Amino acid sequence: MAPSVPSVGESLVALIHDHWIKYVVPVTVYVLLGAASVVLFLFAGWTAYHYIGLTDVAFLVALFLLLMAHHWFFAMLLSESNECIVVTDKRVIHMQTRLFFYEDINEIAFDKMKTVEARKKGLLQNVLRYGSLVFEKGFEVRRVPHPNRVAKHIEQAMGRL
Amino acid sequence: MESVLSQPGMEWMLIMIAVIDVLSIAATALISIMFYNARRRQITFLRSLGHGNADASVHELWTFPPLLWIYILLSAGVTVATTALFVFQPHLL
Repeated sequence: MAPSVPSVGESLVALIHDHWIKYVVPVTVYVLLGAASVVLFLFAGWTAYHYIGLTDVAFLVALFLLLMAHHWFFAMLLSESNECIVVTDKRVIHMQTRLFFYEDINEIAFDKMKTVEARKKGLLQNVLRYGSLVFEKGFEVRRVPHPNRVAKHIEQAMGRL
Repeated sequence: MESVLSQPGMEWMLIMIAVIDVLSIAATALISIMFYNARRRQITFLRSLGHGNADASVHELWTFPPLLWIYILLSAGVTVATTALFVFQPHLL
């Protein structure tokens, strides 16, 4: 699936990737699951000469847990690396992918949009300098780094500044 | 090194571990292919746009980014390490 064909003379103004904050939770989950599998591997090693059946089960569970966590984490990471906001001189395009699940592309043409609002809510967003871009009809793009700067890019591209 | 098949039930363990490893390699290949296709579509679209900042921005997106190589190498490493751990059963504990 791809965005609609560029119109004649359309040029790229900016390409923006999401803020790094989106990686915090998945990295934490990955580290915890990895640690759990390491503990299970150690447990399997410790019981190797005492409870052979338990060793086998522990080893298999540890292997399964490690590989599931590994593939889930990197599938998520690769999907997130594809997410971006494309600002051209005619429209704004938000591309979002989740491998195996969905590939969303939202486009807003400047002739259908009059305003764009940049929002930063809460301490975390203000300290880490990320927020949301809100377009008309409630369409919102979250985790945008320096949203005020991006909103300015968009307004310049719209010819409003 | 103890024979991996010296104890009862070890044949089934070896088969199950081999199956899990094969599925893991297949998952790595599938995820890599899906990501490559999605990235290629994105780069094709960006390159179809006019110049301006297009050239510099598109260079930020690689079809084979370092992250993909890290994923493939780690997957291979984990597969080899866990299989070796089972086959050689080092006396660590």
